Amino acid sequence: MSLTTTDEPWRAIANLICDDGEMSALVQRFPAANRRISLLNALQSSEVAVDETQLQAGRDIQSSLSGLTGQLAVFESISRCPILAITGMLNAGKSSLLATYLSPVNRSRVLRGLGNSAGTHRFVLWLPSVWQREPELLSTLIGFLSSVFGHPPELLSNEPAEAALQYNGLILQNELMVTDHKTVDPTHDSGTKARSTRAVDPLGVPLIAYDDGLNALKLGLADCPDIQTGYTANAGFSGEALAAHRRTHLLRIGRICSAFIVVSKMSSLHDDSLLQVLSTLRDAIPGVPRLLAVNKIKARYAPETVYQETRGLIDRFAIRSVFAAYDYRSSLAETRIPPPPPKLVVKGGESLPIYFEVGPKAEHETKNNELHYLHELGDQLDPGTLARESSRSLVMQLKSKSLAAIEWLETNRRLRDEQVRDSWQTISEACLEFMSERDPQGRVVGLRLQASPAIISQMSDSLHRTAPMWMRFSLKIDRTARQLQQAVANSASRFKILQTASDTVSQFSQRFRRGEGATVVTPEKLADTLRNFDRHDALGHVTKETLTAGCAAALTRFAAEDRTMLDDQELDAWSTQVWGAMSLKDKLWKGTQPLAMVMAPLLAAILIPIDAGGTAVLVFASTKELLAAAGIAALSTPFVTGKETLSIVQRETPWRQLGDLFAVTCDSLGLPRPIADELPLSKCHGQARKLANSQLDVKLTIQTPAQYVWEVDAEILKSLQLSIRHLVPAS
Amino acid sequence: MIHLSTNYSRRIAEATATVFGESPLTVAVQHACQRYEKDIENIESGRGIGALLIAIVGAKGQGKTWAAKQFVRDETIKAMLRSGDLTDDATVRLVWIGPVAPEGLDLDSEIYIPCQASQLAHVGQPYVILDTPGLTDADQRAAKLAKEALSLAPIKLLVIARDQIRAAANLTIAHQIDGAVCIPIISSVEPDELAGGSLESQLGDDVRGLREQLEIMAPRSQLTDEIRVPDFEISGNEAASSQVFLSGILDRLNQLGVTKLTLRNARELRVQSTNERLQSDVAGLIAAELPQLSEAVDELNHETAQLPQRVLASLLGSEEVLETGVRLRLRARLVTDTALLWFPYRTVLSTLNLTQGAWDRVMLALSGSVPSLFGALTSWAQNLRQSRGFSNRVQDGVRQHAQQQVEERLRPLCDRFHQAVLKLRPREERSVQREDSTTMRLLGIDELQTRSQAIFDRAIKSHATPLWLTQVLALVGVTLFWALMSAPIIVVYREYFMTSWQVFNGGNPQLDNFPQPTAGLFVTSLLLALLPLAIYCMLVLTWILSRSKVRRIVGGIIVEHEKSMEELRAAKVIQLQFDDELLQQAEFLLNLRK
Repeated sequence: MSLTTTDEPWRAIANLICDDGEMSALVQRFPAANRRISLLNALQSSEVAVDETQLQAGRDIQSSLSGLTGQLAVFESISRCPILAITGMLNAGKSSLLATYLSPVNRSRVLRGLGNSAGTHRFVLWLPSVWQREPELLSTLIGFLSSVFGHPPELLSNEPAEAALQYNGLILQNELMVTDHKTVDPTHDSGTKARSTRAVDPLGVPLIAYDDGLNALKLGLADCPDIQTGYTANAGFSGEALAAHRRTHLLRIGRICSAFIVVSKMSSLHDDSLLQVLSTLRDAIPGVPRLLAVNKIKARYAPETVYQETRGLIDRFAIRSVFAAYDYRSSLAETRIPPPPPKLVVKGGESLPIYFEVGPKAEHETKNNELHYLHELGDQLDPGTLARESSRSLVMQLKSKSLAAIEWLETNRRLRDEQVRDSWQTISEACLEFMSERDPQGRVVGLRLQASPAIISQMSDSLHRTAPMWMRFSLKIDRTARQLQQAVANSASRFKILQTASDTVSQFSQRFRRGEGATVVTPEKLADTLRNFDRHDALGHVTKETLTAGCAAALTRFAAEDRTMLDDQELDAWSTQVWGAMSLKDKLWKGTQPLAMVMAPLLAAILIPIDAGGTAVLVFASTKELLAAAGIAALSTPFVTGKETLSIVQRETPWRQLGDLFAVTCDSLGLPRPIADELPLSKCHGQARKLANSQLDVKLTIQTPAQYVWEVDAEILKSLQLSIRHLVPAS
Repeated sequence: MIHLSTNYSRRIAEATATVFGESPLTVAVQHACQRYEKDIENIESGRGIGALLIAIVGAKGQGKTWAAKQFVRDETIKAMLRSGDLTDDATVRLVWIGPVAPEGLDLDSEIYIPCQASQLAHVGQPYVILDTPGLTDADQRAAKLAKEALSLAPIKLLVIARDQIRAAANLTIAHQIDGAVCIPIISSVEPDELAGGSLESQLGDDVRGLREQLEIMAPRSQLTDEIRVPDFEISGNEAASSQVFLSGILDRLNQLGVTKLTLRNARELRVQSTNERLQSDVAGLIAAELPQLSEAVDELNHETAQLPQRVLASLLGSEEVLETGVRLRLRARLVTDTALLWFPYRTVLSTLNLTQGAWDRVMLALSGSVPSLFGALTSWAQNLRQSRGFSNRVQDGVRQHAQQQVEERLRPLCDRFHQAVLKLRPREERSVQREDSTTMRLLGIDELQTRSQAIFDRAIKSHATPLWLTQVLALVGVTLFWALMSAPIIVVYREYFMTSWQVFNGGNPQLDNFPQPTAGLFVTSLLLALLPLAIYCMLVLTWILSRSKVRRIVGGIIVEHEKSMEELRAAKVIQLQFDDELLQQAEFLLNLRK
């Protein structure tokens, strides 16, 4: 098999994922800016991710993906130096197993033993000494290790005592390696750096050592710490947290390993921790060979029994083969222990566990006196096959991570849609809050009008037109007042003039501001209400200042652009009814007012924005409220008769205004406008009603929109999915 | 909702449900509560075993069942207890061995092996052995049983294999059995390590390290010396190991002197640690949500602490309004103090007072209910129409105003708090309309009102114009008036009397001879006399109500009020009654982390 044949499919995926140019996978749909970014960047972009959790998940996928593509890219050079990891249970004999592969002289550098002081608390990589002569390969390997652990590895000391300390968790400053494979010269290292490395978690700084004994094996071996240890002298935390921390680090070293030997004692075969190790390896690094080594077996258990005990694990975790070693400390086990493998060099007096394969096949082999020793690893795993299997595993991981990325995008899109919908709902509810008239139970029974100058003048004009002839003169005075107000509004010194405005008007504007008879909306009030209705935190990430500024822009624009008018005919019908329903006494009273009281509230309503010092203020009031404020409703008892006509007059207009206000608020906050089907619902008279679609143009002025909408390019997604489907790992 | 019987767990479960709704978090907390209840039940009743209960606990494959076996003399029973490394040897059920059967034996997960006391190793009192599955058993059911059994016995034998001394599982177990008497058993010790020398001292170091960790995890436990059992698989001498184990156990139990009192103490300690465990478990579960929750609670609490002061400050109102009130009272007093005798000085004074009072009334009406603190001042308006209604409004006003202020300020905060907490709930539960369980009221307003009136009355009284001065002023006023008014009247009377005299003296005066003053004359003289009087009255009023004097009075009143409010607040007479269920539950949860 040549590695280049597997190159193409994964490269296609990598290109599709990483391309940041014309062919990049994501397109910004809102605000429409024709921006594109690659899938890989999208995963870690806070604009794309809908919230912090999603961003974190995306970043995780991104780092795995970019790690994997990088790994596949450097794979060719690393594939010549496969590494096998020896992991497993606490005091199961991991380091002892590793020591059997080393030349006798180096065995003393491997820390072994039951005591706490003999614990392996680092990852230790033993590499064939021939690799030392290939600086390029080594520098790739060390560079890769550094990127995986975030820290360059450290050389294992030649002094056994010092090596033991390193094994136990001590970092020796002068042994730290850099990517060009030179030890760091402490004299050139700044003091601050030296100090900072002292705070580094030793688990994150792997140790490297070379041995001649591995040359024949052509494999590197990684000695891993166990994942059960609950406390060590230099760990910052203890208990399950430490164990979990070690599990995550196991995955890191796992990324450079092509095979795993999991060492367990016989008594731990059904321990939950062993299952945790095995499932971690199976799920995170699939497709690579896994061997199970059972150590310290008691003499009373026959090899078949041992195999029988492991059957469940073999099936569940796809374990390639099982090796057994009887407890050499026990005198009873002597008969069970086979002769040492021929290649194992044993120094005098040294006891080493002897692992041999057990199983139905092994049973058959033993009959021919041919034992398969774990020591003869080369027979089990030849580097070429390991390289293939590693590459396969990487490709499988790439496949699963790419699928995870696509799923992430899909989830993200769904969440984003949800968030945008939530934002719309929030805005529509906040707008409705100001415009709704409610019954004592708090149900919406109608809508108020925005008392825009256009509508006010329409109403007063209509009242003029339909007033009895003899009243018109007095009403005319009011019209003059209104014209004066217009002039006032346009003049610079309006405040001064305003102070002299009639008592009635200022009294009414005060009442309105207090919220009696009308609602005055300021940007702060709108922003507060938006926050209050934002049940799902859809606008939670927008700062208060941005929100208030957006609200101010929305109110200003609404005041300037909303041209919603009442229907003239219907309005006239209503005003006729108003006059008709009024008693002669009231008419006389009204007619003889020096400044027609009728118009005072209307005037007051338009004066408020000026009074409050800006145009970003809206006044919402129902016609009934305006008239009630003027006292007409109180004076003309049968006014109720006009109610029905009134509701006809203002039946649709406020809904159009609500639609417009909603639309401009969306624009000002930087939200896409919903299409007709997506318009949020509002409840009125207990019935849900869709907002009206606004005719106002979409105008986006905000710098940082409340929501960005990114979409996956369908074509690219399709080809990505196609490539993933065609990504058959080399067998 | 699950049923929980203890108050503590119920309280926790309720609080979590109220704050977090029906979320996975709530379910997890409920499970923790259920576990807690089971533990408490185990501790309190000990499954109805009157005798001493000794439980053997530990991780998987440490030799627990072997230890259990050593207590038993009866060979047939020994044979029933299988120990070893094979699947079939594994203990997957709770095994009770002893003369007394536990109550409510669940045959699915428990076995009771009856064993006469005589067939058990003699420890000085009857006892029952409980053998448990390994806590780290890959068989989840067995592991769960083991976890639940940890709370059962007051005495625990914690079995740890020599090579597993630093395993995390031991610490987990120790945490769970905190409070119980704990005898550590170090099993499978290599015989070399017991033979003295460097190996033994290394073992000693390791064990010391373990003890330190155990003491951290189980601070309430009484930790005896450990028993080091040699590995008979290596030595080949099981009987020796058994001997070491048994004599070690007897020694430890003797040392302990297990009496009723120690057991009761152990029970209390275990209950206490179980409580703490639940607390820390729940705190751990909700830890991720705690920052938001505590932020919301802190904000609300901060605001509510400030609230009474702010509302009271707003009740005091502006000095201008207070000045009006003071002026009103001083004026009214001046009028009432002036005797009716002083006509028309008093009339003019009260007329001026009335017109001015009307203006003041408008001001009062516009300014809210602030002056209503001084309910007494309403007396000035007695002779006005609608005075009753007005005074009622003024008097009720202060309470309403205070209430309104509290509502207005607190309601948005409260809503914001609810909003913030609702966001911690699952999406679909956020829109749940909260029932209006919140009461917010400022208590002690009546008391303040009473005091306020007293302060005001006192101030007015001490600054009121003295009675003699009032009379002098009135005398001057009346003199002024009559000095100007009396002349035409005297002239008229004189003419009248003279003409009358002539009539009685036989003269012949005509009707024309009687004075016939025109009305104009009187009106003119009245006006001429009234004008200086009015000016005089104005001067008097201006003098009595001099700006500096009114300011001084107002300043005094304000100082007194502040003092009084501070007193009332310190005495908790004025306090904010604010009961919000959600807030209470949230605070309860927050307190768990302490």
